Amino acid sequence: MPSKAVTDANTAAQRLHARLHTDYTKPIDVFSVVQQEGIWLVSRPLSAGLYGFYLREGDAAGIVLNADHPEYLQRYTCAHELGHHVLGHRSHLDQPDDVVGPTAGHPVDEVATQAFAGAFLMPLQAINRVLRRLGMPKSRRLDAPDVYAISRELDVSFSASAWQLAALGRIPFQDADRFAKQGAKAAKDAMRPGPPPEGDNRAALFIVEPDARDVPILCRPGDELRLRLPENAATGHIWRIHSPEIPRPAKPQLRWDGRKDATKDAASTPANVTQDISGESLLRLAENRYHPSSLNSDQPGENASVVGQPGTRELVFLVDGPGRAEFNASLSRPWEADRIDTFSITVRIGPAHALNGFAVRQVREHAARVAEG
Amino acid sequence: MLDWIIDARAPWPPITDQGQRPTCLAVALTTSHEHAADQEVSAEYLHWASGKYPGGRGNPDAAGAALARRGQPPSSQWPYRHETDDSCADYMPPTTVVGPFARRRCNRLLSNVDEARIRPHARRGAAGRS
Repeated sequence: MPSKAVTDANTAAQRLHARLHTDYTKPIDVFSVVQQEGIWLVSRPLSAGLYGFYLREGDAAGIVLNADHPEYLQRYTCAHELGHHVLGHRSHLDQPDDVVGPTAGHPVDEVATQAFAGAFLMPLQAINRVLRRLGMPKSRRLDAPDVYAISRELDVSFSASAWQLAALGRIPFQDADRFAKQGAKAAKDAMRPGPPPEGDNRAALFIVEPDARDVPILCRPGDELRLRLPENAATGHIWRIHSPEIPRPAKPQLRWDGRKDATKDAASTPANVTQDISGESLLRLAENRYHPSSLNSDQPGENASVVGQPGTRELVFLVDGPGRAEFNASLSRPWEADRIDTFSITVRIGPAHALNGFAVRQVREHAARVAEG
Repeated sequence: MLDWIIDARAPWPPITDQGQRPTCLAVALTTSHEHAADQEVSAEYLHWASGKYPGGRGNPDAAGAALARRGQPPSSQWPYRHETDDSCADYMPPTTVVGPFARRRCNRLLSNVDEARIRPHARRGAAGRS
């Protein structure tokens, strides 16, 4: 049974959402909420052991976040500090265990603020919307990749998502504990057939399949986008990318000496770069592979003795930005004009960090008030 | 510039368009069979019959067994269609399939290729490299 402090924290988070008329179709913008509540917000590099702190001096209140942390962790710390404010706590420095660690043995205030942060960033309404959007019915037992996808959509950490799903009864607490111990990297590794194309373990991973063609994709620079499209190369029908534009490597030139030797001139290979409408590269093609069998098969290689079966074209893009990019492709035979299928998605790429230093809007509003005074 | 020794495409029938169906093995074997037997036979029947042998449709051993044991009726008895769904439960030969069934072992499919004309060229090529 949750303690009264936890129940009160959950209720406080729900009341705050009700007052703010929160839009649950996108990740909760906790930075904006903090500013709307009249709390000073700043992101600055802090010592490694400090996630953030909450300050209250009379009527003034402020939150400082560790700018060296990834955005999702700053968001969670911010929600935690907001919890201190909403629940009427005093100034407080928050170490790792206060924000994301297990709550057993912690002061009741910290347990309550952790509950507040989870309930505020991952309210039931937002989780249900994400589950519907990702096509995950209530009857489905959620595995680590499912929890990872939910955390990515809510823009929170993998372990925070696991614990909140357990708190809401969507996964057993034993599963949440196992997922949290294994970490997001294990979940992402299970979602791709090999290592990531670049070594940033914090980058988000998006798997996009045909049934997700209408789902808008929101990501950040450095994220990894894997498009998986069914293809049967044996029929001659292959996916051709129309945008972004992928320059083809120059063909090597063969020179024959007229007798028995042929030499190959080195060909310059242009970088795989795509251009957005403003001329900046946004999507970089890192891999283009055909997998003869389904990538979702539980038994890879089970149809190894069968020829001509459908497979999967996997296109791996690395995201630059911020900005907006379109992906358009069609399924056809290279020697025929008819297209038997098309696939298009829009990718919106936000800034790497929404908050850097003081919140600019807040400083401007304060300056305006001072000038009026 | 490469010199042609033999253009083996010339006497072969046109390649059947398999559409989007995963039937390349049945279609390819059928074209080879038609070339060897000099008659049009049903690729659809061979694709269906391959599913009756270990490995199933798309498996070369199963297709070879189906061709040797069940054979293929004339193509007019079960024409190949792009829209046929071989995953549905009622995928089976229509009543128009009555035979006769042309049977052949896979190792006899290429008997019409003029190996005698290729062999001396191959020997010369091997000797030139040594």
